[in-house]
Amino acid sequence: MSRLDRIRLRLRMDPPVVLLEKGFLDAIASAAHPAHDRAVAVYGRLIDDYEAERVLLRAVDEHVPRTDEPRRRGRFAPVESLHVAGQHRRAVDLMLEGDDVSDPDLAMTLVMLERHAIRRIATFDARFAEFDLDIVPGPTAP
Amino acid sequence: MPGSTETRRGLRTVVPVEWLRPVRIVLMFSYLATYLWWLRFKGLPVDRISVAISVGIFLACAFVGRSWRTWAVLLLDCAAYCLMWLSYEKTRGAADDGISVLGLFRIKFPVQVETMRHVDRALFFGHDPNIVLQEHFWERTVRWYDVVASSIYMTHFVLPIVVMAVLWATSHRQWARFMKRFATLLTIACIMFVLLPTVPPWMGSSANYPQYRFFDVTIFRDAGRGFRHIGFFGFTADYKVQLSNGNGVAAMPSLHSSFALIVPAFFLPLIRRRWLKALALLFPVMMLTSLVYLGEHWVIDGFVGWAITGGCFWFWGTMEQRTRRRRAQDARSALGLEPARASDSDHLPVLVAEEARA
Repeated sequence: MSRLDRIRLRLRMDPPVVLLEKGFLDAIASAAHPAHDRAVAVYGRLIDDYEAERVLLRAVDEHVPRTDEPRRRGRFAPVESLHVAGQHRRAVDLMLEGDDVSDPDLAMTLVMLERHAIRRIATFDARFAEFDLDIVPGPTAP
Repeated sequence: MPGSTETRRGLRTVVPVEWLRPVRIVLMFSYLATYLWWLRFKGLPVDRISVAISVGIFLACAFVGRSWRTWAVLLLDCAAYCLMWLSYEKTRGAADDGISVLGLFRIKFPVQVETMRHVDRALFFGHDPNIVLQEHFWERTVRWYDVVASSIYMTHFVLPIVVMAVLWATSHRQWARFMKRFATLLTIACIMFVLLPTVPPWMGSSANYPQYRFFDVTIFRDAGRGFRHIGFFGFTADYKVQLSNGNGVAAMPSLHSSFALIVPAFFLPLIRRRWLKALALLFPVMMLTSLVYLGEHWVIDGFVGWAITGGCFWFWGTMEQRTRRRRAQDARSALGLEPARASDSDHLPVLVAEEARA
C-alpha cells in the first residue's frame, strides 16, 4: 500500500466500499448457479457488515440481475448501483481495443473500480487476482 | 488466489487515464487560492447570493469531467439547497410581522423581551453574562481576544458552507447525511423564530429600540471589529442585493452556536484521539462565549441551539440505522439467511486487514 493510499485511508469518511462483481451477483441471484451457496454465505457476512456500517456495498448498475422484487426491497436491497456513463463505455471500448482485456464485463468492472476509487471486490473470478485489489472472500474464507 | 502483492498490477495500468482529473484538481486549488485572496482583499462573502455564487463556482470546478448524470444530480441538489435557504430567509422574516392566515388576518406571537435574560440570570446566580464579560474585557481599543472572538463569530458564515462544498465534491453520501441534519436544524430554528421571537442582548440596551430597552448599561455591539483589525474588510461589498429579510428578534435559538456544533459533531466519529475530540468540541464553547461577549446572544439561546443540533443527530442517526437494518433484513429474508450475529469480531478477513492497516 502506497503512502498516498495510507493517507487516503486515514482521511476516509465513508466505510470501505466492496464492489459486488457480476459473476458474484449472478451466483446470489440464481439458486441453480454452482457457486450459489458459497456466494450467499459470503454475501450474508457482507450484509452483517453493511448493517453495522462497516462496509458499503456497490455494484455496476447493469450487472445487477433483474429480479421481480423491487430494487431496494429484495435480496440486493443493501447494494447501491453505480451508474454507467458514456465516459465509462468509451474507456471500456479503448480497453477492448488493446491486448490486456478481452471480456467486456471484466473491462467494465475494472473501469468502475478505478473511476470510483474502489479497492475491494467480492468475486470468485480469479482474473481479478492479478490486479492490486483486496478480494472478498479472502484466501482464508470458505 | 494467484498474484502476490509484488506482481499484481495497478488498475491504472489497464484502465485508460481520465485526462480531466488533473484539470479538476488544478481548478480546485486555483479556486481555493482565489477565495483566500478575495477574503483578504475584498472581504468575506456572507449574503446568500455571494455565497451561492462562490459555492457554484467551486462545484463547477470540482465536477469537471464528471458524467452528465452526475451533473444532473448536482443541479437537483443545488435546487434543493437554494430552496432550503430561500425558505429559511422567508420564514425568518415572517417572525417580525407574524404569519398571514389566508390573507385575512395575521397571527403574531409576542416578542420575548426579558424572558431569556431571566433564564440567564437564573443560570448564573443573578448575574448577566453579557454584562459581566463586557465589563471585564470590552475596551475602546481592540485586544487579542477581540480578534479571536470576532474571527470565531465570522466562521459561522464560512465553515458550514465550506464543509458542504467539500462533502459535495468528495462524498455525496456524506453530503446527504450532513444536509439532512442541517436542513432539519434550520427548519426547527425557523419555527422557533416565528413562535418565540426573542430580543437579543444588544437590542435590550439599544437606544434605537426604546420599546425593547430594559438594560441600564450599554451592551456594545460590533462583532466584526476584531476581524477588521487583522486586515480583513469584513463583509464583501460586491453583492449588495440580499435575499435576507432581516429579523432582529431571531435570537432563540442561536444558529451561530448550532452551526459551530454541527460541524465538529459530524466529524467526531472520524476522530480517533480523545484529546482531538475534546479540542473539536471546544469550538462551539468558544463560539457561545464569543456570542455572549459580543452581545449577540443569551447563553440560553446557545444551549437550546446545541440541544436542537443534538436532537437532529439523534433523529437522523436512528432513521439511517433503521433503513440499514430494514435493507439488511429484506436481503436476508429473500435469501433465507439468519439474522446478524452479535459478534463484532466476525468480519470478513479483508476488512480486518483493512482496519489493521488503518
